[in-house]
Amino acid sequence: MYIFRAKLSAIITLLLAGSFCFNAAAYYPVGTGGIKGRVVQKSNSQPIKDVNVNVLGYSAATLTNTSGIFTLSNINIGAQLVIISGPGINTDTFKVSVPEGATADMGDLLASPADNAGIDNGDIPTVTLDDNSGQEDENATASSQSTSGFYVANQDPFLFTAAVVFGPYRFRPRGYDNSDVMINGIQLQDLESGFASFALIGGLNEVMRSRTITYGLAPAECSFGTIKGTTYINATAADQREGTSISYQSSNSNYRNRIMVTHNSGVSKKGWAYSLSGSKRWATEGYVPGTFYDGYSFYGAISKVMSKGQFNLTAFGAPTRRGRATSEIDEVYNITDNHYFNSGWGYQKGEKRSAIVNDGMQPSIIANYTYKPNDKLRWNSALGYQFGYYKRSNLDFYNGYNPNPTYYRNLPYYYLYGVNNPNPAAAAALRAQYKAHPDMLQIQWDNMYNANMMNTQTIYDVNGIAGNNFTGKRSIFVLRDEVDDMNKISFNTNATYAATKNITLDGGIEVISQKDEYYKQVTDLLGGDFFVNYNQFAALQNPGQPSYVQNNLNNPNQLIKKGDKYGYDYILRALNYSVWGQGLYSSNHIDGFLAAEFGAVSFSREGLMKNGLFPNNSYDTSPSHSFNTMKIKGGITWKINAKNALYVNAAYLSEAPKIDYAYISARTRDFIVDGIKPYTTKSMEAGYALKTPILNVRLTGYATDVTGNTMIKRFWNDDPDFQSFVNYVMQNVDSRSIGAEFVASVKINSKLTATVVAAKGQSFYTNRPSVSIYQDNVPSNIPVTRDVYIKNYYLGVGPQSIYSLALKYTPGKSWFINLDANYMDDNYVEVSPDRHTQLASDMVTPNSKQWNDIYTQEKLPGAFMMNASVGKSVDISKYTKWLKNRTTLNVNLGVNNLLNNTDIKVNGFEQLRFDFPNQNPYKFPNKYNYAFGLNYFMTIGLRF
Amino acid sequence: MKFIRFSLMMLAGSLLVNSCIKKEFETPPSTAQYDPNLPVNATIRNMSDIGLNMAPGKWRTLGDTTISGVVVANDQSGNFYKQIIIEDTSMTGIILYLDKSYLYSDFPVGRKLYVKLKGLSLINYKGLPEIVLSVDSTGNTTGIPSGMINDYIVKASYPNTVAPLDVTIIDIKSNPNKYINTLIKLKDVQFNAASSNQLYALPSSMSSGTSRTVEDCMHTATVVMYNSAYANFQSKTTPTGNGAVTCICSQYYSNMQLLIRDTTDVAFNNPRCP
Repeated sequence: MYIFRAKLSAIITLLLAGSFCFNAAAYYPVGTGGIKGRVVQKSNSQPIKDVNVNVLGYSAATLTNTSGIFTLSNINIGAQLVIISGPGINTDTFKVSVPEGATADMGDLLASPADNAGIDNGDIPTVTLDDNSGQEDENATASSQSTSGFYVANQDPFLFTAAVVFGPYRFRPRGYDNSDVMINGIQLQDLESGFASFALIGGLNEVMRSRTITYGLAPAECSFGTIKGTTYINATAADQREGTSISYQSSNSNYRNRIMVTHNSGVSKKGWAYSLSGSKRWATEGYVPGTFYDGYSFYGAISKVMSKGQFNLTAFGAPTRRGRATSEIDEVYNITDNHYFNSGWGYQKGEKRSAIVNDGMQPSIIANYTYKPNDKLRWNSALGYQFGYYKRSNLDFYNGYNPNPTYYRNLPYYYLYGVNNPNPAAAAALRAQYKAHPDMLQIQWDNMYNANMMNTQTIYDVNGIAGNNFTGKRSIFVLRDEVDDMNKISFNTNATYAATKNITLDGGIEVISQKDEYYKQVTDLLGGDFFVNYNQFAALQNPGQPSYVQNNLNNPNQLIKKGDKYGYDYILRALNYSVWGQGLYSSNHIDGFLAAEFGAVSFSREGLMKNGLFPNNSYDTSPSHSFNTMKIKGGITWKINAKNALYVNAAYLSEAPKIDYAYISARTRDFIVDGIKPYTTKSMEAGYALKTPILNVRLTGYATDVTGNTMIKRFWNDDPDFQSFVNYVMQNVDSRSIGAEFVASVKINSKLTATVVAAKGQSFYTNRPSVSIYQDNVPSNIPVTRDVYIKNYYLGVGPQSIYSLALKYTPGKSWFINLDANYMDDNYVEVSPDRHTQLASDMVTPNSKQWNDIYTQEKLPGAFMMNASVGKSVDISKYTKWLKNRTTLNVNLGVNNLLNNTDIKVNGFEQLRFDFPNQNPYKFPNKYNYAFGLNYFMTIGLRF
Repeated sequence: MKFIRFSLMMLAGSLLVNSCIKKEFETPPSTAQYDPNLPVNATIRNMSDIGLNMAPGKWRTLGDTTISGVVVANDQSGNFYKQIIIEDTSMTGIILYLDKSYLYSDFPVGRKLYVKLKGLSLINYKGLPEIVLSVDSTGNTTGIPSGMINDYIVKASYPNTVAPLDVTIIDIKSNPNKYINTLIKLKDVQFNAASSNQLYALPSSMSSGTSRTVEDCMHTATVVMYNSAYANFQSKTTPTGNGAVTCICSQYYSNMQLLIRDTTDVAFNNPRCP
């Protein structure tokens, strides 16, 4: 393994040193001349609107207007290739010679009707671009969710494969987890998690389709970007395709049905445009048992187009409730003989009820004005407001057993590995029991109701008032939400200015202010009358300290009813501002750019409860903390000729730690991680690209070092000796991502295109960080600190190698078939820091089986899968008179995982608990989720 | 016009599909009045006698027998762990060893149970008759796993009351087998001088349990009260007064000891006997 890694490193280093590389999807919008023209039907010279026009080597693209006319500016002088593509026409290229400081008029470009006329390729992968594929496990953190939905470029086969084919298998290009998504100039990501959730725009595929994507370190036009690149979504009313579309989708994935209705007015003579879109996605039960889906999406926008600019007001949201699925150990999947077993639900009065539900509604309103007085300046300013809630439900209990049915003490293997005197007979009997009655591994709602209804208790001195006693049914088990109530105001202004014939300047200013209130809230008392705002385990661990039990000393012994907040309640405020600038130089053979961003992040905590364990550090506003950030990047592209290009880019970033990682445990106290500091990212990429009408090839190498990172893993340790939330603070974590990406697209003949994609990477830890362990149920702020021996262990970032061969066949008029075969490998379980300490193997013979089983990082098996899709589009207006002209009916069918491979472990992680007394690695085995087996979507859409 | 038509269409569409998913779940019925009236073919006295007549550490598997009783002690305070004690009209109790925590939520004091003994084992565990899942060759016991509890135990009505037996220290010491695992009440007793105004139990870091001594007014008859360090009343202080204590009569091998369910069992509210 290490030898290979060394080899790979050497290859990459060579690649970098030799600068064999190529600029990914990005080309520089720099230049000195313009192009204009008109796209018309070859047959009848009728103009065609909405044709995509771009220039080879440039990211800038445009659509033809209703008169078929397009203009492009800032194009290098000299010979250039103009590419036209779009629904209904064959993609074609035209040569043009761009004059200096003027605009070349190409006249009419004749477009021939496509063999698959009418099919909009953008429609095809919608189901996989949505959050309808792949599973989210109970332990998923924001960063482990798939962000690939943002990275789809219809024109870039590598990104398409990464997102559409491997996204559901949790492939993350280059192992990166941060993303940068802008809609109409406003950043979508959350300041506190640093994560942009695709769910925020779920179900709005129609109106969010216009995306400009840069990948890697290439320069973006509207922001500095991240090392992963940027996605800019242009979702204004004026830029939507005029017309109405209605579609219905049937699927067997996370949801079963989707209807979507969109109407775009187009721009009126007075310059007004509006757009409306709504959709509903739902399933009473999705692919995984016990998961339901109930999602609505809405979008409304107006635009006013003026002579020197455009004003847009845009509002959208996607309120969605959905049942989650759990991750389980192998034994549970074996007993139930179901790789999609989910213990998060149970029967209540004969109906399936999920205890683990996500409920989010965080709509956005964005006002932006784009000032464009001439071809040299584009200046966009945007003001955005986002608000709403995100809730995650689960069961909570006080003086009760853990109601999770697959709690380790309930399972057969506990009688082999969990007890001092193993009892194989009991394990076998229990196994037989669960095999015969798998419903016992589901949540037992009735038991909890009955326990609550029988538990009559008296609470003394309610609300801290002496003698104020209350007797009633005290809930042992409750259903509760962990709530995040957020408010975010964003301002962004950015401009692009073509300063000279060779130089373009970009820059902008951004200010984001975000406020979140986090709390727990009882949503169902499950038959009881009240819950009490107590921390049972703090009292148990600290006998003789009666005040420790109080979660809120300002209201001791508070009775909690449905809807009441309890446990913790605090506000985090964050303010982020940044200034960035970028200069791009372009000449005939050399392009170059340099970009820098300076900013600051500040944040503070305000506690709304006075915690009994931390009375002096939990309530009221704490001092704020701030970090300065700095980002620099630059790159050079050598355009050898019109077909070949080499490039190299590099970046240095000093970024603030995640706010959530700055506080040891913001839920209960304001303590900051000792010596918290910004972390550093150094990244480099280099590549080669070949573009001919028949063959497109790209080879890229990259290497990224992240140093000095802070990470916190938090979990509930229900070991009887702990019974506490535990915070594992890992500091000075260094990691490296290194690898190569290859894509080749060959047009075999006019009907058949083959695409090969390969990405081989390694993301691994490069040092031995320390972990400080803080318990939530003891008032001490002095942690236990241990070294974590994870140097050269892999990061759990999904499959690190992917290979794909795809064929696209367009045999006749208006239909197509896609078929792809794929393999992925090098998917490693995420390591638990505590398991990789010296203490985890203390007294165990080194290199014994037990020792190896403790320390060896499990690699999930590689997997092969195939997908197919077929689509057809028909202009049905010619069949009946009462339909509008050019009314098209689209039918798409996609089948993923054709071979119905249900044995693909898509993610796994080491449990954070470890059996320190006996160093038994089998007591808390790894947990996994499986990728969906055969799943399909079928879409019928009408566009008019 | 187009706009209005579109809006109406949207509205109709959303009404049409709203909603296949309901929000509220129906509350399950209380099982508190439920009694399956299973045929009972042995008393707990029978079972207890078998257990007491075996030497400590000895055990036997049980045949097709059903007993019934009412829960008189459980793990609510933590003084018992993974155990409940049921007592029937033969005025005798027996320990059920269930491998699950927080048993009190399913088995509150006063809940009637049926126990189908077939396949379980009865052991004399350090002097106490106890029903367990199995015993291995070295005498280690395994409690009934949580996933199998419902196979052996049938929950019935709640609440029921079991009156403790009014006895004296001399009664229980002179005839221990009659009272073992049974709810009793000792009147006019107090903690002795060394045990009063003390922690019920020393912290778990020092000892897993602590013996306190209860005496009668003559200071002649005494009996040990054993309190677990893991009980939630561990850090409470023993009262100095005199009065009645309700408890389970227990023993550790042949040494008699009292086990309280919670400190509410200790009603030493009268002035202390000098």
